[in-house]
Amino acid sequence: MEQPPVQIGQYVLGKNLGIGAFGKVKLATHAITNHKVAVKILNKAKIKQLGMEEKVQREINILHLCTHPHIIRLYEVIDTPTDIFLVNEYVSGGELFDYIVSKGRLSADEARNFFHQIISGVEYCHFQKIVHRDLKPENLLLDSNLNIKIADFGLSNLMRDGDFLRTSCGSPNYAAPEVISGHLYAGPEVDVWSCGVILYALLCGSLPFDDESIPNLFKKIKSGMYSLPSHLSQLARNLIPRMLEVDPMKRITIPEIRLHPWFQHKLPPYLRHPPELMEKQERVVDPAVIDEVLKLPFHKAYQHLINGGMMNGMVPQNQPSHPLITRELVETAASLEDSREDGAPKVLRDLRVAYELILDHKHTRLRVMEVARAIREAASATPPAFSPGGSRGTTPGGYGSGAGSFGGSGYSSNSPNPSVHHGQLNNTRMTGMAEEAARALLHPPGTVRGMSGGGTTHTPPPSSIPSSIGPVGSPHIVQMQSSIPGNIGMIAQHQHGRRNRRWYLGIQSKKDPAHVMTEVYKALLALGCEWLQLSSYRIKCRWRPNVPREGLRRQMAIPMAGGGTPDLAWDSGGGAADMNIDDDGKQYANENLTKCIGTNDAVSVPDLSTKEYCIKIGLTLYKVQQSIYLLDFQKMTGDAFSFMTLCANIITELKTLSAASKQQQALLAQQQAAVAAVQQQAAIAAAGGRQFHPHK
Amino acid sequence: MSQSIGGIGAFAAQAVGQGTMTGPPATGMLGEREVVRNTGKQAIVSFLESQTCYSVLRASGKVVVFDTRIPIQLAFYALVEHDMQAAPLWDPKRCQFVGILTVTDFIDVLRYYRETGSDVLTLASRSIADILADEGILSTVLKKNPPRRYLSSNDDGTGADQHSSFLSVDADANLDRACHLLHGQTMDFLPVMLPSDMRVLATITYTCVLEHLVSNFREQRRLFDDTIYDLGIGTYGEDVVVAYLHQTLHEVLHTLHLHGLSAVPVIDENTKKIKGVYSRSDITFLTKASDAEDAVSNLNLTLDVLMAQQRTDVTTPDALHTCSTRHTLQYVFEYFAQRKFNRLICVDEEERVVGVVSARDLVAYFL
Repeated sequence: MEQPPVQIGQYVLGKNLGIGAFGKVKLATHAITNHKVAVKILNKAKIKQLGMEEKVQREINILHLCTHPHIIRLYEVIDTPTDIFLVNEYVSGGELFDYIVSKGRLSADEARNFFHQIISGVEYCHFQKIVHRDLKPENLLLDSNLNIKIADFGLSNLMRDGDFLRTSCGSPNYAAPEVISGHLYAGPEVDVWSCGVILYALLCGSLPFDDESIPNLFKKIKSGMYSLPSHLSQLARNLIPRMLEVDPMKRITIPEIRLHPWFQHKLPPYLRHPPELMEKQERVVDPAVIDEVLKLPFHKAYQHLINGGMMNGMVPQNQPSHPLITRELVETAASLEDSREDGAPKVLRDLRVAYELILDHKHTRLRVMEVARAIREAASATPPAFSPGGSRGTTPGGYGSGAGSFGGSGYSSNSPNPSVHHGQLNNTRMTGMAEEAARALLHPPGTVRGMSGGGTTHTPPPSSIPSSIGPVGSPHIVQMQSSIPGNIGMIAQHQHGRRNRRWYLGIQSKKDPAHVMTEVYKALLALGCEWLQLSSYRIKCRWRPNVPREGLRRQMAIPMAGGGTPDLAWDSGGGAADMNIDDDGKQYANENLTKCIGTNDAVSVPDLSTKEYCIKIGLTLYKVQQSIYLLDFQKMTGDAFSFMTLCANIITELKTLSAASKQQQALLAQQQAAVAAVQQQAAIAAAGGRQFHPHK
Repeated sequence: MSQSIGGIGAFAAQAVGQGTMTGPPATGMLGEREVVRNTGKQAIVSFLESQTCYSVLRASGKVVVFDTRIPIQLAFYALVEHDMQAAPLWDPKRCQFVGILTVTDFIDVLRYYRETGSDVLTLASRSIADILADEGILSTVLKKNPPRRYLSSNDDGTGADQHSSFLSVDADANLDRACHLLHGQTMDFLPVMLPSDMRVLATITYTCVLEHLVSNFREQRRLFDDTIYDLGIGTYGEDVVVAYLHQTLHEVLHTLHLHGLSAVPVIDENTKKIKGVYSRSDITFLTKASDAEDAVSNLNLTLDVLMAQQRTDVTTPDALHTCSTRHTLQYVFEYFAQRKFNRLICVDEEERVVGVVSARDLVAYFL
């Protein structure tokens, strides 16, 4: 005997789709619209047991942020005492992974189509300050029209200051070198790497980095060892290595990928918009969809509200809608920021979900049509006015006039009166030019030797003109060099033995964690810091950069370290009177040398040189691997550079302590004296500065 | 150094001749052209006003900041190692930024050691703060000379001195403001700051601004079909400073410093043909040196020796890129979008230098 179907909220649960870490994923039907959804059931007890409350909350928050055609939508979160139900968009096409496995390597156009959608989705994530970090074909789902839907933000992190993207996560095959090397920074460039691996997989049908043994696999990834099959086009052969660049700072960025001719080729119009516009378009209230919502059988769902005694059958079948569901109501629902707005009554939230379901399906239909249309027509969007290739559709004659000028006829002879009839260029010509332009770009400079000496007899075809102004490919080209390797002499000597040094903030130790903490307390005491213990291996600490050490030491209350009254220790200031005197006793006249100019006037910069000024940092001791512990610094308040000064001081102090106890060999990483500060930062999140020191 | 280069006169005449030949009645044409030029300028200015400095920043990037107490030599290595051209200086005692250090500054300090015959080995122990407090160095090699071409554009002559004060732009300020700062204060590097917590997000250059412009400016109309020459963008004729292959690095660097230039076209003294471009921040002579003493003596090398070195990384913005006076602004922008040059050397059919168009010139045209 079959059990009656279980209903949660408006959803009738169906078969299992899979099993996640916290529970099942079930197919479900939205009772009102009949659209299918995937319901992820998270068992609260299990979450708590694994200490993952924060992470789950994060995933939910992340998904709520995202409204993008190629990212799995989260429609609703239903909270019950035992479980959390995440109502997600359901797609039926399976995983991209299976698709590649079944089809083998894809054609360039099909691969590019997928790649466009992936990059657009990833770009949107980055716009929302999210690094996915676990992009792989298994997390890329397909809908019934073979459109990409990026799923599983379980491992992604909001790029927030201080929380290093540290978790060793992701599938090794797709993980960027800096991720598997445990570097403590990871931003959008990590996703670029993964996209590079996916692009490789799409075009080649195999993985660029693969090995039975994980250590070997890691070795291959870290050294960027892979081979490019010969069947790849020249442009693809240019793009893939730029994405699979081991040095994250040199790796191509998403905006640069967007400009790459391989990417530009056949880019559908709807994916040309910047992410903020994409979102806005997705959120435009659509009256036609509201009409549809009004036609929905909401009376079924709300019959108990109308009339408790009214039977199902007594509601006339032709009644268009429940009288309570007015157009205004639906419009209000549709314009809600998102469906989880707490203040919104349940009716509104339900309407919102219905509206979104219908809207998404409509958008999908429209996009399929649009893409089909775009294939037929030339692009009509406005690309950047000066982008190579992209501008040709609307500003023809750019290359043409260039040709003219080199043919000796001057700029005005070729397009003396540029007018609208030039406005449409057929697609093949356009892309042909882009490819051509790019090919010129890919050539080593010796081969695109400038035609500066060409004279008037040389009239090249318009498409090859980019080389007409170009680097003169003589051996005399001189420039600033961009990297060190291979150099000899002064710099190389300095580099000797340190070429592979890595920079990160923090200090590692093999000592017993309790012992490490004791040393940390000693160091903080010596530096005149006040601290508060938050847990065994987590403290927050306060420091006044402009109060001399000695003055502080004299007056400071002994901070608590496991007893006493923390608040007292925390609040008692180290009020030394002799401010503005440095360790050498030199007095500073503090003039303001830092000036900052705003659009209209100078912006005042804070005076950080007062004795009241204090910075707060967090110190956490993490277990990195078996018996290796990492002391991590997090900036809580204050400026980045005082923060780094303090980090440097703490590390130096720890090093001194360690040397004193004749155990310096136990320290894996020694701190190099306060050298310089490198900030690896996501501009949006503007990550705090990090003191770096070499890893030996 | 600056001497008239053959061909420039003829070139100018030719450009003018074409303008009148192709156009209908000259007055109407000129008026129309003027309108288009102004519209083009206005379109770019509006774009710059609509964008904040924040928008220029890459999603992910790095900033190198030096504690002023570290040795200047170490700072220089760090700049090179991190592939940075400039770094803000942080004085931890005063808790504020006090200036900017560039690769060029270090080279200039080496020049000072060569000129004064001081023992360069003492350099290794001198901190940034120490060097920047040295009046002898500050008033000679680090003294700022504004580019002659822009002398009239600012009142106090030299603009901001980035060795003893730190001028930055608020990340929320618009780009137009940032460009005016760069230009008016004759700076090459402008730090972008979040003033609320004294954080430098990046240092931007003219090239950064142009990069942002060419990849984000959207325009349907054809507004930039005038040639860069007609628009007066760049330096032409007698104002162009050139260097010759036989000149020593020291001479060339001195000239660059005197004229406030960042790079100079290098020509063959016999044929007058362009042979390359030498940038003030070029560190080839340092990479060849075995120690600081050797680096100083390498200042006596001639350009042809230095430039004979084959370089493989030719994509950097300081490589030689050429154009002609007949290239349109639209075209130069498109080319910039692909190549990200710092400057174009304008040459005639015989590969002789007739002008220099820098990223700064391109931006300054719109200010």
